[in-house]
Amino acid sequence: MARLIEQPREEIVAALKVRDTSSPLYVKSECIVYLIRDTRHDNDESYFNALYCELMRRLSSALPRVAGERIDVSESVHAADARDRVKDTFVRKLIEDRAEPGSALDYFEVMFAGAIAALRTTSVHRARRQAARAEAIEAGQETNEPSLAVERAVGSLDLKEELLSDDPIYRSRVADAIRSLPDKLRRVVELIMRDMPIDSSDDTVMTIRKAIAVKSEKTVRNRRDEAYLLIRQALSIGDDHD
Amino acid sequence: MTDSRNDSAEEILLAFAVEQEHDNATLDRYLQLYPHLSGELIDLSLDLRLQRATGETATPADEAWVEASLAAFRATSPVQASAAVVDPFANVSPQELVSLRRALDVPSGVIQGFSSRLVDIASVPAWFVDALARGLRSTVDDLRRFMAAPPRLAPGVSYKADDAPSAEQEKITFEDLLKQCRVPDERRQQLLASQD
Repeated sequence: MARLIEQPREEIVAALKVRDTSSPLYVKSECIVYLIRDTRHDNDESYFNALYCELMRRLSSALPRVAGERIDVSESVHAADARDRVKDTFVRKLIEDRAEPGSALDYFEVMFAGAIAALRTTSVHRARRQAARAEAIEAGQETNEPSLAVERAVGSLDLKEELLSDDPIYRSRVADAIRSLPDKLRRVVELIMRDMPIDSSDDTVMTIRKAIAVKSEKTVRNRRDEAYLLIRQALSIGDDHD
Repeated sequence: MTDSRNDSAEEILLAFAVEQEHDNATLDRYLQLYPHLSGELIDLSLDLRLQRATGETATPADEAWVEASLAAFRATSPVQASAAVVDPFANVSPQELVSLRRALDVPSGVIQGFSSRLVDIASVPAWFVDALARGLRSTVDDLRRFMAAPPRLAPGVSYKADDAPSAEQEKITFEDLLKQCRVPDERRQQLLASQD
């Protein structure tokens, strides 16, 4: 960071083009946030533009993939919307910070990709509340009778392991499969990966049942089983491969 | 669903995102503290996990979108730089410049250092920029915008040298400008002090 600040701007702009994150010349996103905040009082338009455009690229790649990369068109539209909303929120904070330096961008200077993920979560939830998409309807369709196929599906699929696969394309497929699950199933998957207990008689222990606010542990198990079945299907892992 | 609910939710999620550790203890703590945000917190926790898993495989950004974002920013930003840069010295008479340099108690060379954009505005104390801008009936923003461009030949300056006059290439600091103009030490220290 100290090294960067002292560099001439042309060199910083050149370093922004480095894509290899392991290169010693690679400029971390957090540093770009610092540098763009630092341009508050100057008018070097081309330098500002270079920083801004690179931040937009980083913002975009911190989000799930967008247009043309998914088979499901409605998902693409959804992801593109989310990207625009995240960008709008970020830019609003940037303008705020330029007008009056405050804490608006601090989080982004600490951990850019994480903070972008946080904005995405907020904006997705906000949009859903606005659209009043009734989860109640989904819940109503839920059956408490797991099918036999579902019970077999959980099997030995360890998603934490799958996400550590050496094959980056496979890792992306697993991530996409998890992301495409309905909310209520996806959340159970995350908590299972964290090895959170499904239920407990000890009230002080955080459990999946409590975290997703359902009454019975059976609901948790059903959601888990359904989620794993869908993921297996998405990854084309059939019973005969076990 | 008020704005304050949204704002505080955003703050809490941002704070969670930048936590050093995203282990079970951290998530548990957030879930206990903010049960109304449990859905968001679990989603974010998963998102961070998937981001880590697919980080290096991020697809190249969509350049058309990046360009459109920049254009949109330029269109809405209050500090938009595409606004025409005004020369704050253009409509000020020589007499006014004389009274301005007297009011600021600096030699005329210092004022020329500004009108020729020779001085690096970033090296000038804010109070002086402010006083100069007011003296020129301009604004600090307009003056800074004008000063950001490279040095130019100061209008109306006579050159005694034989060489054809040419604009300096490099800007100099306010301190160097004051030294070049032989501003006495004591006054120079006053001018360099930040008064805010």
